[in-house]
Amino acid sequence: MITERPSIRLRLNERVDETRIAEVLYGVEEEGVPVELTRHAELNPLVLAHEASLESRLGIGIGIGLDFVVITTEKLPTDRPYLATILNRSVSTDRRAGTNAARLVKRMPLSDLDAE
Amino acid sequence: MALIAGIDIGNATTEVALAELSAGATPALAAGAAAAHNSGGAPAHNSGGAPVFIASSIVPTTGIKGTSQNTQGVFQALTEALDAAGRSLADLDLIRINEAAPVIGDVAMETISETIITESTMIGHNPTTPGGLGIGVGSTIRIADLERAVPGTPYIVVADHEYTFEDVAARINAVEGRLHVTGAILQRDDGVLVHNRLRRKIPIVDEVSLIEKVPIGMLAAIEVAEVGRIIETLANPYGIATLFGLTPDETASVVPMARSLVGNRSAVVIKTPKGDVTERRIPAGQLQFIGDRTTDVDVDRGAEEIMRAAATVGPLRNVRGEPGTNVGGMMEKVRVVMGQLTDRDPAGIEITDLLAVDTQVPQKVTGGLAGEFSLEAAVGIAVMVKADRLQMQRIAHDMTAQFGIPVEVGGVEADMAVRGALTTPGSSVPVAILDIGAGSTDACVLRADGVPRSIHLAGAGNMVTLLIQSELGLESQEDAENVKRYPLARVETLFNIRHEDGTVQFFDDPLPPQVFARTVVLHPEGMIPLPLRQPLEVIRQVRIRAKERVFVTNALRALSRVSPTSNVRDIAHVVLVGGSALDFEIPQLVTKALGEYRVVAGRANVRGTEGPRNAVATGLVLAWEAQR
Repeated sequence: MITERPSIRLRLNERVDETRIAEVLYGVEEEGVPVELTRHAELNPLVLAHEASLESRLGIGIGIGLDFVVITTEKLPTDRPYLATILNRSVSTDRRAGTNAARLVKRMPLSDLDAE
Repeated sequence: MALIAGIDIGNATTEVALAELSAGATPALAAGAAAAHNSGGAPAHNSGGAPVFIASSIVPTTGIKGTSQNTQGVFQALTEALDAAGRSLADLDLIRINEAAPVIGDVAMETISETIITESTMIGHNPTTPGGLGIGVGSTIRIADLERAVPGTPYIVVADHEYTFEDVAARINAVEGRLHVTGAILQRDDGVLVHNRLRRKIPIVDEVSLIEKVPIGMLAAIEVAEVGRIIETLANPYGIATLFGLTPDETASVVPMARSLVGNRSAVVIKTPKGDVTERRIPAGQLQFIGDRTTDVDVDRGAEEIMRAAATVGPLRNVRGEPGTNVGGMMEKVRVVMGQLTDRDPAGIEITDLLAVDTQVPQKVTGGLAGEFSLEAAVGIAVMVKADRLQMQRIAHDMTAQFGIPVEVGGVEADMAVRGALTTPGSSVPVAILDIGAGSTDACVLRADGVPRSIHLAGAGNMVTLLIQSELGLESQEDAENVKRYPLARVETLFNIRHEDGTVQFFDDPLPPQVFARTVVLHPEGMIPLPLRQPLEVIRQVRIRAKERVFVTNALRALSRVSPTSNVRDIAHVVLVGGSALDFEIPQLVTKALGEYRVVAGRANVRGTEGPRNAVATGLVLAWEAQR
């Protein structure tokens, strides 16, 4: 099964257009980490991220819904995610969100999500 | 009963020892011997009339040591000690301050080599994620000109930040079959994204910040190493010669370039007709040492030569820098600063000791295109200036007026420190103390005859901070100070760190994102992430080497000068006092180094309770007692 491949899982609320999350995916890709995208009816990005992390063999999940990007790990509770930012605040913040998700996997220093 | 306070105004801290003395009933014992017998620190019953210490305190020194701004810190420290003892300022009969500031130290750094790139002949840096793999050689071409390019020669594409990765990949894919594209240089951090979209894979170097300076239409070679590897061909002069078909003479001229590319994961070398990378020595000027004899030495000869020259002139009376040179300016600055501090004419300030240390400083390469750094040679210099004795008299006078209590200046600081250090349980005369402070290293020997002999040397804690800051390329002095003071750890996961000794510590709550995967300083108030990419072990080695080069060197220098035979071996016991003795590794480094000379060295425990602190303040009280 393809889902057995180690990857970051990204759970996207089905109402968010896929073009809006392109930069997040590019951020992960530039770091050389595989990412798999699935779409869900769930609105809450916290729940999306948490479930994505449980599904990910790397233990890192991204949840996007309600204009939030939430990044968390399988070891954290749903309501206490590791990183969160507003979707589409800028091209660079979107890209950095993806970069940081990948760097959590690679155990490399994160870049500051709040920096412009 | 008399209540007296010994106050030590140091470079970094102001310390108070508060003691009660039974009036009149003091036997004429040498303070050292009395203290040694009373070392338990038990304040209970004291029939011998020796002082009973009732409180101590320590606060940061306000202003620069030896200036009138010190009184503020003195007042605060006194208040703290008096509060702890349940007394008030009015109860005090006498304040004794140290005859401080016999010396003031300053440090400076002089870079003596630099790397200059002319006409941008190379790019060598470590983008975290370059694209592709291998070597490509070709003529540089702007990506906009690609579709009009003539087939026949290989090309290396240059794309600035205007071009998205999709655009770059599409344009390169479009000319596939018609043109031979062998590599790409990008301004954005898009190397992997472009690579993933290319049908024919090529090596890609990204994050080249000054891409507009890349010469166009020139022969270039690009190399990207595998993950975990470093480039091999462009870091090898013969490798460059092979790619560009260089003559033996030309090959000799690319050596500095190859050298500066060593250790990179990716690099670009561009062959321009006049382009060059040179490494040159900066003429830093001469230092003149004046003692019984006079000798000159070029600063760019390095620390070892400088120290050798200094040792040949006999007792050092002054050091001058060659006017109009960097080192001349540096010495002039020291004199002006010292002149202001001590209220004297700068021309009359005499430098009585100098410590030079070789160091390396990461410097931005002049003419580099991607913020390249090169490790340049530098010399760190600490100097010591004899200061004014009247200065402390003035502070004593000010304080008397302000507090309404008699204030007197006690003896020489190091002599006081010996008396204080002798209250360490297990110590006895003859003894040597080593007081490594922030600005100076002081040593003092007290032999059975009771006559102390002391010396002050340039170079101490501040110089270590300077070396750490410059060698790691830290922007803030605070970070350097923290690296010096506290152990390191690496944050491995959200829930654990690995200490520098390899042990692992777990946490219940996730560690904050700012520290994730970083090397942190374990500050008592929390982890401080360091803005460094070097591995923890490298940072640790820089720290230890800096301490060894200053503290161990100075410990040996100081002890050999106060030793009766000028030989370190002839001092049996050494007690470390002062702030640096509290450092988590300095006592061990010094103990280890002195062990080679069969000298017993250890950290003081003043009055059995204060550790290496409060030696001078305690000594001031004891000395007064001895005087009576």
